[in-house]
Amino acid sequence: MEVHAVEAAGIGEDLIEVRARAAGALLQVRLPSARFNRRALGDALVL
Amino acid sequence: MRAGSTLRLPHDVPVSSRLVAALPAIQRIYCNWNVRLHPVALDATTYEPEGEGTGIALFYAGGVDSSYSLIAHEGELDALVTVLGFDMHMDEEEMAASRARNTAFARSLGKEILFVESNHRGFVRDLGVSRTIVYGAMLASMALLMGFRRCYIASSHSVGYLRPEGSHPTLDPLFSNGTTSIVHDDVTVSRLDKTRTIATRPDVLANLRVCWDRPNDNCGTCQKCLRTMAALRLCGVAGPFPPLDDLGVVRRMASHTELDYVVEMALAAHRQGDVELYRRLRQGLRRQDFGEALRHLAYALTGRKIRRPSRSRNALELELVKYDLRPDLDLR
Repeated sequence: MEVHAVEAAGIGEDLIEVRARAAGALLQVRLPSARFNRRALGDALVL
Repeated sequence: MRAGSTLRLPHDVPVSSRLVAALPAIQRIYCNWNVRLHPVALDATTYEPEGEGTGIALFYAGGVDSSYSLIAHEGELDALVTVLGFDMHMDEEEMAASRARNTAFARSLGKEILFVESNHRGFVRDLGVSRTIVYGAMLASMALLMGFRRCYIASSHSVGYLRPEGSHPTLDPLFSNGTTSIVHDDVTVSRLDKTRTIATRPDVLANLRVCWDRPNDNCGTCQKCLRTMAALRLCGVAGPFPPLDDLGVVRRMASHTELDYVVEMALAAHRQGDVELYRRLRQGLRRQDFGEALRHLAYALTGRKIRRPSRSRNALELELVKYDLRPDLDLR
């Protein structure tokens, strides 16, 4: 299974949305941008 | 793991070496819980974690488990994390109400509150997996994305009644990535003891929300409300619930509620001389026993071929991958 189209984009001032697509399904997570730890993106996708 | 295919990540999205090292154990646990799952390889680059994250957080949903963990760790917590719509669908209005209520509550405790939204429930369902087997991983992934030093996930069941579940004391710590430690909170405290602790804190009790039907108040009629109302009755408080006037509803609740919760409430009711509650809980337990006996009889007679009639949601749920310790062994 390939995870692709991984993006992390700001929504407004305070939120960031992480998007990833795998096996045709789209995962979206919105969280406070001030807390976003970009380095853990791969970890979150594995889990 | 459902498909058994290699998981490939873009090479500019590396994975912590600590998490990679834990993946075989994580997968062995899942495979142990469901023989239809297969270990998979990971094709990804790795990174070395550099130091711990910042802040200590707790996933707070407002229910009994996370309310207890909040009280237990209040002194060390920097932040509460509320995942909107984690257990049920919430519309915009309900989300706004939840934000307002929980923000005021967190402020009263001097804690930061962080809100997360995700479509994870639909995402895993689309991949053919029940959220019951992966919800701990979902929560952990959110904690890792926020880079806390430590993040607590409240326990659901106490040690005598642990069972395969998406959030589990053997599983959750393995989701740590070297920056964030994921902690499955204390499994030595029973549900009723958690409720007793909450009953001593009027502020936490006032924000208790357990309902399966309403995200911002307690309906007082669903099983989860009723089991909490019965426990609060044993604690001598009512909390933010309608009065439990008719104990007749307790029997139905007890016949569909997890055994550990019902047994300990029945024991406490007997000890406290609450004869009527004790009687209703026992009736519910007997119904459970009867249902279990019939289920096992049906399995013995049919080789587990019986399936519920395909009634929309149940039929869909049956097809999702969840834990299954007694798979169909008709291997001809």
